[in-house]
Amino acid sequence: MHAINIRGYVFLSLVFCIVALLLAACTNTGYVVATTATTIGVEIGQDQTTGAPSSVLGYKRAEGAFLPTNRGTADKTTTTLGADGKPANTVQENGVPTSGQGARDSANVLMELHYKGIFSSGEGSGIYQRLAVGDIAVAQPGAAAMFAKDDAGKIDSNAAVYLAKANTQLIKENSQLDKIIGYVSSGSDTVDKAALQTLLDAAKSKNQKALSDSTVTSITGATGSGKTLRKNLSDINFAVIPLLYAELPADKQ
Amino acid sequence: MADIYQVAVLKDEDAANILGAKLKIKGYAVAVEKVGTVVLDGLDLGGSHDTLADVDGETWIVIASK
Repeated sequence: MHAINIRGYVFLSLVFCIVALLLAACTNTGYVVATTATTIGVEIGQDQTTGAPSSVLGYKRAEGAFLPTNRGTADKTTTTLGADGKPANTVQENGVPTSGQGARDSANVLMELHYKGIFSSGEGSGIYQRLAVGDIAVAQPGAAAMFAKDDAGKIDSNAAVYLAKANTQLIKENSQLDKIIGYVSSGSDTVDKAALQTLLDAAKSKNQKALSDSTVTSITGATGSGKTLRKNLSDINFAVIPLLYAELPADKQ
Repeated sequence: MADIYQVAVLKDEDAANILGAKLKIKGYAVAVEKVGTVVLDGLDLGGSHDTLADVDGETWIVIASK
């Protein structure tokens, strides 16, 4: 006697699901907690008549990261009451000064989960998961290389060449950007708009097409701090970096 | 909705792919395509209207967003 009988088949169970894909990046005071928990479970039923085999596949993975950030903390005063209900002890803890960027300084999380051919044992079947946590981790070339790989862990040869050349260019441009920011901010985080405008005018006089009015406006209009200018130049107008660098005084290059 | 779109039109395949790789490193989703002619219409935002094509008939467009 079978416990379960459906049209002559005992269907034990077929479960194919990602039970949990939890990506939680919870910001709290001064740190970020990022966790992932992944479960893929497959349990195949058996035909009681033909005796087809059953199969079970399980994959479970959990990981977490705890990252301090430069987000500030508030001053805190803790008062303990005595038996008489009156303050008996007071502890004052000084907070950490804020950077002024709030949650913007929290860590980024980049994650990829891939499964393919989990019912076969042939080439190409398998499960992989990639995780990069933190502003630096998700933006650095290593993360790009990691995520550029296919599910077999290989990277296309042409893509590898382009990635290497791109990385070389970015290192050079970042160095140039550091010097541009240093020149127009003189060590502080406040941009000297006059110095920046002088650089832009000099570059524009030599390359009118590369520095249109709208490009200049997008650079100068959004400029307030060195950090903003860095983002603006490196993200939106990164093609302008070599032009501005070329206009730096020789001793600043 | 993406915050930023970057569109570049180049005449060289290698340059297009290197630019695409740079943008990927910077966190963009990138598409690099070979096309014959590219029409860019930025008039509504005070820009220009450009029709771009290389003499050999191969133009590369890099479109990136994040």
